[in-house]
Amino acid sequence: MNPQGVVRAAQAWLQSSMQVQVPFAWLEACVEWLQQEGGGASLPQHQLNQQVLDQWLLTDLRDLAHPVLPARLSQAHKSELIGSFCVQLDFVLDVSQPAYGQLQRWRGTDCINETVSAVTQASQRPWEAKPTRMLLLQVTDGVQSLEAMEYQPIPALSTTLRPGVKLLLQGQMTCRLGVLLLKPGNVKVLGGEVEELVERHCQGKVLCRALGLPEEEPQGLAERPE
Amino acid sequence: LNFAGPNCSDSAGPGDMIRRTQVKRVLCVAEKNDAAKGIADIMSNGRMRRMEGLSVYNKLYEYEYNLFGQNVTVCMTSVSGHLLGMEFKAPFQKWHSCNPVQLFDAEVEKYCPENSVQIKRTLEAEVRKCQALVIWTDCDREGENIGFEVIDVCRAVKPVLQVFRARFSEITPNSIRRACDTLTEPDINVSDAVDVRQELDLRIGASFTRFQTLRLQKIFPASLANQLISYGSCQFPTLGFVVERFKSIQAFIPETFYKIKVLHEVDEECVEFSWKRNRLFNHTACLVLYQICMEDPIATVISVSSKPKSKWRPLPLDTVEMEKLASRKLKISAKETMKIAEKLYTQGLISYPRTETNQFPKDLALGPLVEHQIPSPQWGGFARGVLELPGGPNPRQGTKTDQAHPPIHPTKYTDALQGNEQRLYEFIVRHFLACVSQDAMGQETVVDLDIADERFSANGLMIIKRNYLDVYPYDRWSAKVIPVYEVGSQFQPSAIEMVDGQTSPPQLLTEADLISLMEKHGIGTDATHADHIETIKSRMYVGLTADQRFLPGELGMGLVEGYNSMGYEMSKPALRAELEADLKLVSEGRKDKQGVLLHHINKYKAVFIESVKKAKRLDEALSAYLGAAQEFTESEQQDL
Ligand SMILES: [Mg+2]
Repeated sequence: MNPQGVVRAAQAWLQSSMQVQVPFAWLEACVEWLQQEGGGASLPQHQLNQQVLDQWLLTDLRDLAHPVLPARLSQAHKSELIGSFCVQLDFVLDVSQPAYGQLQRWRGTDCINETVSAVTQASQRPWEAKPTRMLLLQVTDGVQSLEAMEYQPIPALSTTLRPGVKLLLQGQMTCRLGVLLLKPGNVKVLGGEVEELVERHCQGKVLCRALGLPEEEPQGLAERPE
Repeated sequence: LNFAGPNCSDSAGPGDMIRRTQVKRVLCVAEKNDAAKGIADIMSNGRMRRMEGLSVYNKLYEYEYNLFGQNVTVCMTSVSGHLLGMEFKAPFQKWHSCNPVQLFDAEVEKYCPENSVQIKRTLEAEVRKCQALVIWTDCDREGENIGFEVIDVCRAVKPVLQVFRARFSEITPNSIRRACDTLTEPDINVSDAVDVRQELDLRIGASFTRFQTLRLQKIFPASLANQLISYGSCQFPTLGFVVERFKSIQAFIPETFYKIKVLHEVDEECVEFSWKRNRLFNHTACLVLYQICMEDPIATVISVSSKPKSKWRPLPLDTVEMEKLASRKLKISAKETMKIAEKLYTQGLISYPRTETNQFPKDLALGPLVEHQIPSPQWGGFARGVLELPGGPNPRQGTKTDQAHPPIHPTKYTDALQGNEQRLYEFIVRHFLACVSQDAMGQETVVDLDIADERFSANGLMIIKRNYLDVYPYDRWSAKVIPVYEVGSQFQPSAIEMVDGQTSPPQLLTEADLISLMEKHGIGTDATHADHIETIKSRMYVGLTADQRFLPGELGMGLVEGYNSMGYEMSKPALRAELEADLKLVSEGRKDKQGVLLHHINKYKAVFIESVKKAKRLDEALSAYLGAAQEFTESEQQDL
């Protein structure tokens, strides 16, 4: 197959199997680079496809500048969105709980003594709502950034997702005041991360920003599981 | 008749011969004069002869009693708590006599302090006339140790002496007679645990206190020149809790949250439905959901559930719970509570107030105890009601037991008390009657709504039978009326509002909170919590706010920060908690006294040496509160 054919085949595969759209020029360069890395030998197409996908998962979509979301979606008061859209998650914050408590847990400085009180027979109030988690996601298609909220619990999401991870948003979604409302069927985690974002948007920094605190150096804490 | 009975284990040798000695006169020693008087009064049926001893506060009571199956003459007297103290030997007693580090190894001895000398002389004089000694001190660790102090003093003048221990939990006729019929041996393990604690407290307290006082007085002469800056391995963790809470309040960052509230007015009643999501810390996210509700503001009732709900009667009362409840409900401090309880106990009004047990033993007849309370115009009717329950008194049972004393309960009715004594007695009686009665019963209704896929709920409570609440005004349970809602019905709420609020920091500790923390971390015992709290107050390490919450003082803050910065968790509970756990093992005979003593001396000594090395950290921390530190030379350090 001629080089253009290989690139086109990869593009078709990304589009059909992963709903991933990439600029042709980027794909061309990527394929060329992969073949050089592989010692000039031409890789079988299915291996090449997979390696192209892996490269895309680790790329900051801002570098591709290839919009997939409807223009000015974030400015609409209310609109419906239908289709499949690959986006990148920049960072995530749980807005159902105080950021202060989350930051203390993240730093490992939460103090169990704070919850000790003299009342030994805690009165249970079953009608009182246990807060359901609500994650607020900062996502981008590389050109347009907007927020997305966990309108209904979505098990695939968590605050441990790596900044820069790619998500596939699909199906029918409402967008209000620039916020996408997500239900479990709307989200598929494709994987990946973006190295610079992992550092810049680690959970500790996200929480510090939410609290208006100076951002601390991660001091190895970014390696923590939570 | 010859006397046969258990003998004190450390009287090896001519035991058989001792047992054959005929007993004619028995010396009994209680922990306090009040207790001696109460016990004598019961044993003699009020016919004892009162005589003076050498100590004006400790009378002698003489009477005949049938003990060991024979008539003997009993001389009942008392000590005033500990008879002996522990001190370093003379060369180490003066503050500048040695480097404080030597206090970890310096020799210590028990001695009789000035105010106990007359009591000791009385015991020595009386025991010479007796063939047997019965220890009637309180049945707890300290009591056992006081018992051995009495035994040692008596044995020193009369080596051939038979020694017994009376075990009892209350000064009532039944309990005292049972104790007389079942005399046992004193428990050396329990007493050993107290010896270990005393010695460690002396060594640790004296070394750190001398070190930090001498140093800090020189470094901060303007504020501390004449101040004793005491250290204790219980005091400091206790202080640490107060500082920790204060700091977490300082560090706290309030955050704004938003929520949706639904109101429904029905026949002048307004029902408030609260949001199942509770609250969100993001304005836009909440506004999005609020807009969705407002576009279709019709509420659909999706479920109405009604189920019985009971409010549990209290558990039988143990010491810690009594201190906490008295502090919270009666506003009487733990220290004061224990003082009053002790007095009520020696007057025979309540059972022994130092207990970790919150379940009544099967063989304790509760009926008669309830019956005693019938004469009361306030709770007599309730007491009668308890007796008329099918099955009689029905205690709620906890899970803790110290195998020594039952839960605190009244043993006699009285209406002759005043002030706080009356209030605490009333509380103990009401708590007892409540815990042997029945849970309050109600019916709870929960109504769930759906508005545009958001969920809201409201609850109502109908009280069916108040039961224990009738005698226990310290608990509240309020009914809440909710109208009848039908599943599937729809209505237009009177209002749907988006409201905001702010998170707030935890509060400063109350005394009850502090006791809970000490208990949780094993600092001190239920018998000593109140004392440690009192110490940090009297040292001015902490103060109390207008609403009786603990606020650390500058000195307290500085000390805790200084020691924390050394890296040793001196103001954290772990070190002391391990010590406390080992003491328990010694008292159960599962660990050796000497081994435990050495282990903890070495551990604290190592910490001490490090602390001296890093003493500058203490100066630095304190100078944030007390101003610039004076220079302190190495040679001055050596002089210590
Ligand atoms: Mg006592």
